[in-house]
Amino acid sequence: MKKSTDLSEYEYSEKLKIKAKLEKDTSKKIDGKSLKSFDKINKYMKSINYFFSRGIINAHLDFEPIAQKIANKKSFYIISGRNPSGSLHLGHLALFKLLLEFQKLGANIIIPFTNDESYIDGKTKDFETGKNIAMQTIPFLAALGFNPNKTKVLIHTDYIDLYRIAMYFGNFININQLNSLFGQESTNTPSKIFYRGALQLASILMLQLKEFGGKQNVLVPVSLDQHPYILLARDVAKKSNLIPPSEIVIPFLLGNKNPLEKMSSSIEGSAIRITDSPDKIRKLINQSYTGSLSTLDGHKLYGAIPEICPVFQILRYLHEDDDYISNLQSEYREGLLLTSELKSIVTKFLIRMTTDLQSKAEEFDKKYIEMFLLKTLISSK
Amino acid sequence: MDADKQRRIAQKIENNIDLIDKIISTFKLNINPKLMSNILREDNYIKNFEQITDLYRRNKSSKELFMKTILKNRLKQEEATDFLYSREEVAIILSYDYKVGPPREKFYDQVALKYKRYKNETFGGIYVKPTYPLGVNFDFFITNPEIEKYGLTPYKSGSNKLQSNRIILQNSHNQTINKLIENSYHSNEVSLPNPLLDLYIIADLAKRIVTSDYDFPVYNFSNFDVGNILPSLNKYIFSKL
Repeated sequence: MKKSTDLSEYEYSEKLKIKAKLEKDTSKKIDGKSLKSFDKINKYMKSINYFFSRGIINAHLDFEPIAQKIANKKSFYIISGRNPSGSLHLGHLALFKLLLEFQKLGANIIIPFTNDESYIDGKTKDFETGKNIAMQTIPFLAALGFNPNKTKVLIHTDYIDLYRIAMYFGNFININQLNSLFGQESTNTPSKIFYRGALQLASILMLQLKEFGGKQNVLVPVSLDQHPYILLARDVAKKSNLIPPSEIVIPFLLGNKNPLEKMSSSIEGSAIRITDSPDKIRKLINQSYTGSLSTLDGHKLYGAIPEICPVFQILRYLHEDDDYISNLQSEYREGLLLTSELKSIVTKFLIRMTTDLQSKAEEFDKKYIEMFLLKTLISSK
Repeated sequence: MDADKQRRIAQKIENNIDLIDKIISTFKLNINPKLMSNILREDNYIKNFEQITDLYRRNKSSKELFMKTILKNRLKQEEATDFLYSREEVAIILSYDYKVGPPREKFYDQVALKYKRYKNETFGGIYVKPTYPLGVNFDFFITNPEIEKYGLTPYKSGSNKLQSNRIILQNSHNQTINKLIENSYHSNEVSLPNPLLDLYIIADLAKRIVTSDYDFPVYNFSNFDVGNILPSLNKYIFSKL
């Protein structure tokens, strides 16, 4: 018995190290990149929705003007791009749910599908592949309840005006800036230079052109690795007499097999896709890493660590009932909720949600889907 | 200053003194108010002021402490007067054993305490929770971190030019107060500003004095009847003044 307790103690301390590493990585990046903690804003806005109450947003830059818009029930823009290189997974779904919550607070949503980026980074074989993934995503946006009048999707290579605008904004920066922000590997072809040094920031800043209502506050939710894009867009905004965009940082949903990796379609077994069958979901959850110890005695003695548990984090990012999640978290942390019980809860929740989304997504006709496409012509510049 | 303006100010001062007298007698408060203009003429004060000015000029840390009592937007103004207000404040403190004030005044008290200790005396400071503006939503506190931190000076109706976000006795009308209450930020989070709770407590304390209920009050910061605030203020405060 003593031996098994020693092993549990060792296992628990190893898991605590993973938690510490996860927290350190995030806070170190926040401290070093002129981002502010979102804790205080979360406190004020916690009754608004579960992303605030659970502290899922962990950093920001200039969120204050957006808070003013929300408090005064004024509309504002959010732009949140997607690199269409693989099927929709739960990480994407979490971001869409965040956007949907902001839409309820007055946000007009723009979702650029960067099929040019997918191609130049070698993630898709051509532009068309990314475009197809984008078109397959729109029915899920409709199924999630996005309002097509307030949600617009643009597929980069189809939105030619963007390239003209990019040519204009890209002229405000130089190659040294690009290299220092992204590193040489990310800027080693003319296409990559144009994409990172012009197109990305153009899609953010175009929302301040007269066709979209002129100079205004724009919020960009990103993960920490996308922070350089925002720094660049803010720099160019200042140089071109526009309002620097605001930023919020959302940590990635944890990879299914490794909490120190993000959930990603390109890592085998890491992502649960929205289109996965119930059997596949069951299998992936069963194989998932968890925040609890491998023995029942150990789990009951030490409890679990929800912060490093991909299975628990799925609920934290996607389930809307605060009291339910809070109770589950306490029970899991104290070892009262067993890992098998948690997995069963999450599996049932996911199967119900994905089945519902899949069947709803099939209901929308082509005309309704097309309502989501951005058709605004840009004559500025 | 023209004679007309001087007359108006004198009248306002007189009205304020009458109101303070009325508050003291209505709520049977054991308070002995003094006019600052009279204090400034007291021998004891004059002696303290000279000594504290001398200490301030000789001791750099006093200035640093004074700077901490000032909101950033007022710092230039205070520096221009060589922190006259702060020196006056400390000179008054030196005549007493205790002072009640907002938390940031602890820095005045630290200067006073230094001096008191030098004379082998002691001194106590009691710090009350800051008050906050009414009629503003959460975004106001997010975009005004200094007000979130320090609140408004309780006895200055025009503190931070937010007089229209406060209830001014004998001045604010019920309709205005109602609107201020309706538009105020109300949180269940104990560490955040809660101007409605402040108002609720003020009304409740007045009720307790009027009804001679001297049991120790316990307040639930997240669950109090907002709808009862204005009727209570009317019944136990406004109607009596």
